[in-house]
Amino acid sequence: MSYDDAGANDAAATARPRLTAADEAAVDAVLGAGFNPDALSTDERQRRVRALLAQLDALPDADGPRLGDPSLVDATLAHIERTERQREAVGTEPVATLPPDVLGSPWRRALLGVAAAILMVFGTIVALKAGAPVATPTGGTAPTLAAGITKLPWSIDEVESAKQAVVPERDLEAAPSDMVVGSLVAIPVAIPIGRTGQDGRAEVALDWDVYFVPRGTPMPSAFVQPGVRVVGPVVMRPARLVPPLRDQPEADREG
Amino acid sequence: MNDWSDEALLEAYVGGTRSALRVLVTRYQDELLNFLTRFLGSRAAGEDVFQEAFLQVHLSAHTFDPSRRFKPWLFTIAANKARDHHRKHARRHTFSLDAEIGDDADGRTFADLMPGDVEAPGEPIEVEEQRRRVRSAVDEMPPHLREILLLAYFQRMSYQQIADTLGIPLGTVKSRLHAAVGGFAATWERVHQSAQETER
Repeated sequence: MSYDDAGANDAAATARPRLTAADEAAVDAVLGAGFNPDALSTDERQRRVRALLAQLDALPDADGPRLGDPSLVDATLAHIERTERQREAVGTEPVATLPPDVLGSPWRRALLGVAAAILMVFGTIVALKAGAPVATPTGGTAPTLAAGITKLPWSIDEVESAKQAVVPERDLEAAPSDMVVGSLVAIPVAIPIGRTGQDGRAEVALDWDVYFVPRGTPMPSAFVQPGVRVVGPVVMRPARLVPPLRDQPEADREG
Repeated sequence: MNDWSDEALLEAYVGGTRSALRVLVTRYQDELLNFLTRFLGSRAAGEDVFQEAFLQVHLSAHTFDPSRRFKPWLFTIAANKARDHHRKHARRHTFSLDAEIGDDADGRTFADLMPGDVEAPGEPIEVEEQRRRVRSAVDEMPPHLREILLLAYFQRMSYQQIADTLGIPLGTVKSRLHAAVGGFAATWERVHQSAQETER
């Protein structure tokens, strides 16, 4: 049984109780007593639960921070300050420099449509490169796509969750270098939200554009700046591009 | 300002008193960092997530309801960040609750797996070995069970407080803690037996 899915685990825990009712009652009693042995009854089961959990005391803690130690506090405040400066820098981007209608629904739909087509072609090419035929939704032959940096219509959350859901980390670690076909790079972008702040500047929401950079392609200078995140390598597995295409059926992703 | 409540400090910070955040960060430095270090298994990871958690506090401070308590809110943020961190960096997912325990066929009960007493640590090497075993048992636990076990044991949170902190139903907290304790017992026994066999 995998532990990655909390919901499934809860369901499994309900279906197959791990403890007897008496054991569960003992755990409840120990928690209710604040793990204080003096507050527990003489019940042997409770005493054993308490003794088991007392093993956790051996768990190493941070072992070092002391109130008044300024290093972590200063680092934390500096991290906040740095992030705030980056946000402000993005926030000063004048709205007028953006195409006025780029956020309008017709443009957005068109852009998403183009991006989705690019993604479909890209995924097909990569899978073909792995030696497996890939059927397109229409059953046609996939066109050739020149190697290059490609913007993907994925949100950064989708990239992260897809990667984590499908690629066991050990695969990433153990992947031969010739299986790594490139990297995913996330670039922060400011999306005007149509409001003006008290300081007169346009208020923006922070979003991310996700790009695929093929292996061996030099990173453009625009990708080498504060705030840019290299999400991770894209690993080729037989007949599979990872992370998977967003619209792939769930069952196919699991295979 | 040091004797202000957490909630008053955050309210002051939202109102523009920048130094109030320093007091809050300092106040939770030990407690939160210890929780995160135990959860993530390394102090470096704990410090990273600690900083991310307070960055989120800064970003979301204006949404905080001052009629509620700050600490559960902070731990909610920290637990979410820790889970994200774990998801991104976890290298193994090996623990399984399919381990035999509880109402299993061979009739062993949970209590059979538990030590009768806490052994007093002896030589330093034994202490280190004990730490390693506990760390191993906790590391094998999935994050959603681990966080509940640590919040319950080290933060002395009640079921309700954990439910509030993690934003999950009370019943789920109970079932997860039961599963966590059962899993910990099973793993502890396995780790313990393995160590004993090695010693022989």
